[in-house]
Amino acid sequence: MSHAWDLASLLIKPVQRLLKYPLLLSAIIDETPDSHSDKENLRQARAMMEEVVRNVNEVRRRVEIIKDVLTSKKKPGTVAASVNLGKMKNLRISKTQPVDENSEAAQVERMSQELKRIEVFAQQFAKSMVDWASSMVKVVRALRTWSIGFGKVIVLSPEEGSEAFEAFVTVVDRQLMPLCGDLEALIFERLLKEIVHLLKTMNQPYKLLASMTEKEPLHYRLFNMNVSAKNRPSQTLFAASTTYLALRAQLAAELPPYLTLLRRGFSISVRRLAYIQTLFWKDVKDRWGELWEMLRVDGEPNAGHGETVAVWQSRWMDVDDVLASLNINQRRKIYQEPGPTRSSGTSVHPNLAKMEYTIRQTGRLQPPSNRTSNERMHGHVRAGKGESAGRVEDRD
Amino acid sequence: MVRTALLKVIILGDSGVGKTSLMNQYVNKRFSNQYKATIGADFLTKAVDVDNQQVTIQLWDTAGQERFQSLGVAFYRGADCCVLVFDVNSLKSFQALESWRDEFLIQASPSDPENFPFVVLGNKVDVDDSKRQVTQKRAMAWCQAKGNLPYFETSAKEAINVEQAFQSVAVKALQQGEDDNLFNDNPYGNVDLEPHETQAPGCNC
Repeated sequence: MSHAWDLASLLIKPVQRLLKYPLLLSAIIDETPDSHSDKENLRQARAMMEEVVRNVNEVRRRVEIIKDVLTSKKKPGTVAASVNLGKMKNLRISKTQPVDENSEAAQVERMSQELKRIEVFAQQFAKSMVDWASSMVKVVRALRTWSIGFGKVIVLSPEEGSEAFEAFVTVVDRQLMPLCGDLEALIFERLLKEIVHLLKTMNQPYKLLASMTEKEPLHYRLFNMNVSAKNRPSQTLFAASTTYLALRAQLAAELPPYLTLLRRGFSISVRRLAYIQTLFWKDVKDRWGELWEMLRVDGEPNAGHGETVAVWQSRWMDVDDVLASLNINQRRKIYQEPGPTRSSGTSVHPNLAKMEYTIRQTGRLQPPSNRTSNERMHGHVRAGKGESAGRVEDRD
Repeated sequence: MVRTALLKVIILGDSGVGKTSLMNQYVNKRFSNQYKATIGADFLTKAVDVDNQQVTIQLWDTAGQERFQSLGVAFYRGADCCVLVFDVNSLKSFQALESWRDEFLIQASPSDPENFPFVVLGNKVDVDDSKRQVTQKRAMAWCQAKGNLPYFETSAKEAINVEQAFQSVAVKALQQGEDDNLFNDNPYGNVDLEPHETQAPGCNC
């Protein structure tokens, strides 16, 4: 007798050993007298070992089925097509029958819907995030276009430039533009990629769910079949039902931790975006704050946008009148301060109403006020902070 | 130096038909009247000469994998020959041969299932003729239908035909092993030591 060992013979040892425990325990049970106190314990041990072997076998079987489903290039529907699906629809457990809310099938169904909801959320979130980043870039570009236009309107030239205006354009060009560029890069290169990666992990669960759904009617058909010697279920039906049960069991076991991780993953993405937004707005605020500090007149508080709006309104109110009198732009106010306390600001300027009346009456343009436009122009430059507003040329 | 061929042979059949007894009789020239369900060795080996060539037969005995399909795959894989055993005094054990054969072909999934070598043994022919439930004619007809499988009527107890039966098994297994080697030196496939990309649980943060 020789002892020939090869790798396969050695590798089978632990598998065989596992299978032998129930047999060995049975042999011990047979040799143990009934009166012995260990008899019952031995029986329990054997039952547990059999359970262990069953579990190992079951898990292994599921792994094989899942591997098959995930690696198959086969399009869904092939199995169903090979079995007559004609009467299958009404063989499914009808909706009117009470469905156990806690059944494995119901649980998997709920988790499948949750998966879809998460996917919809993630898609929308990714889209909103990208749209937001793009709109930030657009806003800054528009601001740049506006500031250059504004510079032309107030007729700035290289000889007669304005330090304040240049500072403003520099903030837009050199500070805000790169900030937005960084923001876009961060969102596209990092956050979006992370979300896409998370979405990609859904492919396998979806594939398993699709395969399970495809085999479900076959399973219920077998389930409701009147099996007799003449009416034996086909091998295909058995295979489909077995696969369905294995997929369902595996999904029921694995979807809960997967969904938890998925939710955690996306909530990290949301938090990360919030963090990026906070940093971005803080940077934007700092840049404007620096400009404001630079242009600040002594004694004037730096009290945020409310202050800025108030100063600008007091400074440029008269220009509104003049612009209106030129009749080159629409009277519609582009920006309206919300809230009832500002309601007076939203109403038509008394001068404008008056002017409109004048135009209707005379058919030609009449300056509505008793002051001349020339006075008002100069008055404006004097009244405003010349440094920040730039110079307005006298056109008379 | 000539490498000794190692032939893997699986013995299948209903419980109590005498699989272990046949193996023991063949390898150890021993027979025990007392029935014990197989727990012992995973396999017994015996060196034999086939056409003046030294081969080692490795006889694999089951340990309950019949009930655990997924665990059985590794057991059946790479077999060079399958021995189907029934008890001539038990019709049920003879009728079960069909499903044992199917089971083996599904699990072992040999490259050429149509021509995979099976050898059929009708055991316990030493028992009184009056108890016999499966005639030689009937057994041979089944073997004929399944592709002319060699059939032996054996007795592990009386050592009848055991040597001859396993000699036939060795010849068949050697042919099969040589056929397999034409395609693949390692019937178990190469061990892949490369790490596989797996989906790590959790997110990369």
